[in-house]
Amino acid sequence: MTSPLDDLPTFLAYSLVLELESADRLRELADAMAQHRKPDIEQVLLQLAAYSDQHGAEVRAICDDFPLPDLKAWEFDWPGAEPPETFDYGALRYEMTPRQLLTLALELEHNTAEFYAEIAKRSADPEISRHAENFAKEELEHVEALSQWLEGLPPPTPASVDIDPFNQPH
Amino acid sequence: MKAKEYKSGVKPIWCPGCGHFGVFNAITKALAAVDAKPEDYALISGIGCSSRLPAYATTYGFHGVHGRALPVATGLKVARPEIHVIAVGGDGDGFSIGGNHFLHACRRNVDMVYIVMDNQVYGMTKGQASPTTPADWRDSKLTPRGPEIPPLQPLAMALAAGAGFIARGYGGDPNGLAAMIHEAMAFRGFAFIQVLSQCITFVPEQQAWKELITEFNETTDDPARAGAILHGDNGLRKGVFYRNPRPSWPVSHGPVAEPGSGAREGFLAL
Repeated sequence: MTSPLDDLPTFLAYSLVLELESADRLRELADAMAQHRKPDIEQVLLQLAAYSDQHGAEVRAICDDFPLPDLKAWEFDWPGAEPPETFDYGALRYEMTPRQLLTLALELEHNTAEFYAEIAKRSADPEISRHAENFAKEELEHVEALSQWLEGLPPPTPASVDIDPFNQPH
Repeated sequence: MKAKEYKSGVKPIWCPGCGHFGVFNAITKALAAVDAKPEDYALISGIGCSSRLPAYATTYGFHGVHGRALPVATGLKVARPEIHVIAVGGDGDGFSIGGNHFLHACRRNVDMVYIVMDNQVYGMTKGQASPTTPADWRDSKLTPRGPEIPPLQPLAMALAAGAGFIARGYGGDPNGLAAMIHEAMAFRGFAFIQVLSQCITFVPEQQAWKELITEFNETTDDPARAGAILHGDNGLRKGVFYRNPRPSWPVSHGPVAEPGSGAREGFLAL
């Protein structure tokens, strides 16, 4: 097991995987929603994936100057089971609304900002702290952007009829 | 190769929220960890939601007949021992119609990994009780009072039948599960992993697994000790319970075929 506090290349490997896994997961879930004829949710997921791509590219640009350690998936010591910005597979429902989805995304952005803020606070390496502080700030900007997106959504409407109900017909 | 490069262009039709996504994610991460060549691996399945998995991977795959993943996987491994075989499926496929094969695969100890994605329900047919469904689960019209029989204990069964690697993972922890699959792939013999893989559509209460599942870190090679652990098991601990390699079948593989006998090199002449 490693720690993002170990050294700068390891910290950057954490940052890169955090964004890449987030983008991959969002696309995977977008595909799942498309399979279940949920284009509105699919589009929100793809939009979120595009943001993760953008942040991933920014981290990758920083990483260009460092050979990153080649870590196996289970050698990362995340605060939870997965990177803090990665949607839990179990958190999604095919009948969920964009509002519910964005609320989840907002929570993940908060978690990620906290993850970086904690590293900035605890690291003895000033370079790690500097990058972590910057990343935490960026994540807080994402929090702000997502909050605005949520506010701009139309008010919730009654749930649509479920054409594929859970259990056998009564 | 990166983990996502082991995913084919076929999109899973599993319900959003299904635990099988996490299992597939873990398999691809385990393959990436050994930089596996897709053509060196085969995923073999039976029938059910989870058994669709081979289509989603870039390895070789065979989506077989209900309950028959293990016979097909056994045949493949014995005929092509250089291929790494991973059999996958669900609890209905593996423990009900395929239950007989499960016992004998443990006993035979052919060198392969068997991953059962256990959601304690028949999901593909819209939510009926399976062999691992709790006795008091009443959400199916077919069993309105619940199955009223205790669920099978797959890990204890595997131990009794002779499996050398017995573990339980959780689909909600893809990275931990990937490490477990990686370990199972390295094991020489039949490696069995029961994965708690939630079906949030028909058994939404399985969302609570995330809070209930705990770590087990006391792997033993003593079958009596493993038996005591597994008979007192609550079904919600994840970890490797038992690891004790023994010769895998066919034990008699060796350069014994007579030239010109027609037998494949390395196999006994018939």
